[in-house]
Amino acid sequence: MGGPTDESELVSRAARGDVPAYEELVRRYKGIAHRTAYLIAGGAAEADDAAQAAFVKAYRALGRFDRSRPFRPWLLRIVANEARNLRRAEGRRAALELRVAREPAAAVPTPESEAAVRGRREALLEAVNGLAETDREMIAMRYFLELSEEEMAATLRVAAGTVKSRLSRAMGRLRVIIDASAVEGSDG
Amino acid sequence: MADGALEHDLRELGRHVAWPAVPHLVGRLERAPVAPGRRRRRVAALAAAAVLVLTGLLALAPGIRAAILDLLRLPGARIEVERTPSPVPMAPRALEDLVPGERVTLPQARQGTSFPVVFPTALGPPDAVVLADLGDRAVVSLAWRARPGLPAADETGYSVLLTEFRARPPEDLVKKVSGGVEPVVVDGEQGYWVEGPHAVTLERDGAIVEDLPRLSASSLLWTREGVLLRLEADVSLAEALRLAGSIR
Repeated sequence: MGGPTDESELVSRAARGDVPAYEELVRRYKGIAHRTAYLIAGGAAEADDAAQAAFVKAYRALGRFDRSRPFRPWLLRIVANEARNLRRAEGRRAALELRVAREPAAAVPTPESEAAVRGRREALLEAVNGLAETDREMIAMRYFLELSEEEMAATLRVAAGTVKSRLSRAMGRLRVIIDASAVEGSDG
Repeated sequence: MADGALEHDLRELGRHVAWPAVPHLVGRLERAPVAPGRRRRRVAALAAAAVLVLTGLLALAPGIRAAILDLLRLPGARIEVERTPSPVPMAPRALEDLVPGERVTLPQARQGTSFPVVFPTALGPPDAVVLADLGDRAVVSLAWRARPGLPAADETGYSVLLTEFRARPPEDLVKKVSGGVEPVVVDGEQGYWVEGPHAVTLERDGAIVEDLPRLSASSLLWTREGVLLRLEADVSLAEALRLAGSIR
């Protein structure tokens, strides 16, 4: 990936008040920021507000940003913080339920039928949805948003080792759910 | 299930999750009281003036956003969701009135563009082709006449209209809709399905190419290898996705 303009150059320009440079950063990271906010805040409208607030706050805080470090985890930390505050302020835990997107049938026939592939994805997502909030957050950030463990540590304000152990526990619990539903499926 | 397999399956699943649409964050930032004395000059130009008024409203009253509008965007296109539909003129019928450019042949269109011109193989080659601008700025529109199972849309007189151009900011294509907009995934890319008649305009660097928005039939928008594709037809989402899935 990587755009035509270097990220640190964009950050420097934005810190000097160059709005178009910051807009380019927003364009690059709004997707991952919005999805991170969605996972934590639990709703699309909350994610909109959290991402928006985070981008405004990050812009104002750019002067304090250490430019020798990557921008994305720093931004996501602000996003996660906003999303958490918003969720607390709302005083409720929205029931986040991830869904599988609707897609066209593959033009090239696959060995497995489309329905079977979709069914498998839905079953796995159902298992992820069945996890406790913190476990789901860990798995979704690592595998759906494909954040590195270092980025997750920065985003969640925990040590890298903590991410590793939490992720490993979350995966263990996911396997338990998958195995249980497999047994259920073979019973019925 | 082995460790590696579950991780692989989760990553694969992650590419098929229906994430909520990302809102128009940049426009809202322009309204945020950031660096004093700095405001984008180019902002004034276009129909985006209306967008800014509305995004300003959003900044003031985020709670009522859902009631007023939302903004969805893709590289190359912006969809404005309004509570009440904008009045739009009746649809013109000549293809050159619907889309900008001149009639050309498909090989001429392919010669004139810097990106590959693709079409749904399920439809076969188009009945008519229109090309505006050249190279990286080219806009190509392909049209198919009515055929069994694919009636002509009232809005265009054609069964399917496919417009393609290099996706780049700022968005060239603007749709105003009051009905349903559904996020979909086409070829692993985020896209949107706009159901029912709605207004559409094409802008270029802030200048409106078409004088007035025209009425569009249902359409599917997505990007494919950096090219914005807009498939317009009076069909169901399933049929639109089937056609999109056959694009080569």
